[in-house]
Amino acid sequence: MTFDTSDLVASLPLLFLTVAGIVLLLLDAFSRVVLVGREHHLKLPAETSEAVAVPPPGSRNYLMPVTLLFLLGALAIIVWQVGTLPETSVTIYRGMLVVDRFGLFVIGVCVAAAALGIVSAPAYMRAHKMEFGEFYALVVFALCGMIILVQAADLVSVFLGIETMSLGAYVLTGSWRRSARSSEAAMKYFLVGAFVSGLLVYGIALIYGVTETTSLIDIKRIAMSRGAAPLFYIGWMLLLVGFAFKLGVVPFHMWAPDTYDGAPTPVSGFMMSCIKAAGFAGLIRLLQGTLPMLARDPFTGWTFVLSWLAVLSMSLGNLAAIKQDNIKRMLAYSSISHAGYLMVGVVALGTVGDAARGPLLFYLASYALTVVASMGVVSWVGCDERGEERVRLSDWAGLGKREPMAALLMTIALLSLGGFPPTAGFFGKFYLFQAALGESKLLWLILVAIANSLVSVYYYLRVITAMYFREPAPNPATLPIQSTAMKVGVLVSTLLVLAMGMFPGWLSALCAAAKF
Amino acid sequence: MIAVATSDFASLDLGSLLMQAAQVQAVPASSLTPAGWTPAWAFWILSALVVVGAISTISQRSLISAVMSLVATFFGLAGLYATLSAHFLAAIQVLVYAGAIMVLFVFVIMVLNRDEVERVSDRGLLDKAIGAGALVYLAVRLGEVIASPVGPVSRMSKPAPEFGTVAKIGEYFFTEFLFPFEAISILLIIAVIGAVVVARTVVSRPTTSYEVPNAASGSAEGGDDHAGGDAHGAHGGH
Repeated sequence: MTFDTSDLVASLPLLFLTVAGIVLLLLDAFSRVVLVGREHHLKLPAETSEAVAVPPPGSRNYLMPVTLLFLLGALAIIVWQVGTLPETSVTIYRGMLVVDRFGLFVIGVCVAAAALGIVSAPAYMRAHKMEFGEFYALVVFALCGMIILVQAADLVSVFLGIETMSLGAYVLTGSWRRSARSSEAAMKYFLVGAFVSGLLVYGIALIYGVTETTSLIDIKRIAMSRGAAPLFYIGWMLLLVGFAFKLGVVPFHMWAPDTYDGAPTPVSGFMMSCIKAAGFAGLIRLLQGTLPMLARDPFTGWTFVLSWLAVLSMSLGNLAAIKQDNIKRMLAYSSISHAGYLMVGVVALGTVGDAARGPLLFYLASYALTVVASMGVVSWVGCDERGEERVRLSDWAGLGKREPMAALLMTIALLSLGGFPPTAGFFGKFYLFQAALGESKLLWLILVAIANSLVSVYYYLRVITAMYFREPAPNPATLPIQSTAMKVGVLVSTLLVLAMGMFPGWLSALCAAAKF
Repeated sequence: MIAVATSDFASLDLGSLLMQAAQVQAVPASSLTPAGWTPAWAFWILSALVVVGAISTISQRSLISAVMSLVATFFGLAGLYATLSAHFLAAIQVLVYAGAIMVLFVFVIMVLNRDEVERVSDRGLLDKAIGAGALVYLAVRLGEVIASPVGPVSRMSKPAPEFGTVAKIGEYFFTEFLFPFEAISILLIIAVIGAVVVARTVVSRPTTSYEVPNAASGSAEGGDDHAGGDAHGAHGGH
């Protein structure tokens, strides 16, 4: 007997989304309609072009709602699973995956962020003439990879999850085939990612060589009893470097600005929110779940290493973001600095222990939703007559008059990123720093983080002043995308950001209950 | 490599592998070894094939000959795996490396169609120093192994005789590693879709801007673009 059916029930979100991805692929393949957006480069004899070359709009518009339904279904399954979960974690598939509240919470955040992000995808892709049906299947399959990574209880599953997630992201990044920047972004991301996969496998091989097992539980037991051999240190350091690359933490961030900037905007939002959340969850499981005994060594412990990564990431990310004129690129650097704040949370996990996990998860959730909202507005602002994205600061001048709704929602999202009180970002930082202060040794790190968030206010406010107080260019050729789904998606995510900021109790209670 | 399950990972290096390979008498004669040969002989012949093939790979001036020498190396390695009772690895070595990967190499060489590359050995002093250092290190480690009567093999635990066989690996696939074995299909499906997505739309001229061709200029081309990946790129200049 290899497994019983309770394993299947326990991994229902993964199975459901896998089936969903296949259904979406089949729907796309068997609906024989010319894709909307393709009509422009469909070349036909002149006499028939008017009649044939422009198919009725909305031919395949049902793919996004179907995907949305699937994602909401997955969310419902996750909520149901949280309700029926026993107190202790359940290991399934012979120790390959583990089902616990921590994993389910992060998966829930990923699925919700993906759902709020994809609603702006159809309008964005149509406006930029890049519509293709596999988009939704790729997003769903990448989510499957995230679930495997978040629930991994074995280094084999960790690697499998990371690869599945990353492969989806590479393709999505490069899917805007007419944009050279998108191809460049995908190429850089892919080459760095392939290199990092090598590091990950190398690290896993070294750990396996020392411990003769890939199971995280057994690795923890063996490392506890025998102490760590030098090769074991090299092994987990390589794993750490691999994760740092995937999360875009300085000094392993070189790919991040180009990739987030060049990728289609909904994809950038998906990567910044979901991949970051899943990657941090995997890192937490690896470091705090498996190697807690290595946390406090003076120079080789992971709290020491990570605190320096955090300082570098926050400082360099913020400094580079200050001089960005391109809002998407500014958000990419801001994402690097937010990875630094999250690293502060991981350091706190090593020093104050479980008390820091709830705040860290709160921060992850608030950041994911805020990024989805801000990237939704970036999509909303649309493109110029040549089809290029309007992401320059000058393009956004006077947005408060032309598109007051977009400007208002962006303001809220930016205030949340900067950590201002009525938004989720404030409580994210507040809880995180409060938890980290449980250990007085971390005071210097908190001070660096606070100084950094003060610096970051400058470039977030710069966008807000441009939107409200700068006169628009004399001939604003802006073409904002008019899409109800996109507007509703941005509105809902912004309202959630506000709700998390005004009533943080419910979410922080959820986060505190998300145990291993 | 997977045949060496050791608690002391530091001893896992080239020397120990060589010594273990040389002392294969303890391993039951495998079905892939021709009858009448002792496995130790097989080791020396196969490793000679590997070394000669490798030297030939880096010294051939013709790229195709170099690739064919690499194929010989891979076959030698596959034979070594077989004598180490890693039958599955031997089969994979032949199928994937000597087969698929080498075909890919040959394709790339034929597509690029370049007779001869410039010599790469005329590099700076630093490269040569690094190379010399590596060579000295290799010589020292090999010397250690040859000089010691037993070598580091004694510190290794010998794997079970069926470890690495096709049957055992198949059993693992369907018991302990069932989940990764199944879940990797998600990875493969993403890879296939991704290849299609990335390869489908032909961009004749990569540009950040997008132009809408009007019907008049399109009429000369014929309705070809909706079929997806077509020969549009061959026109190049339009």
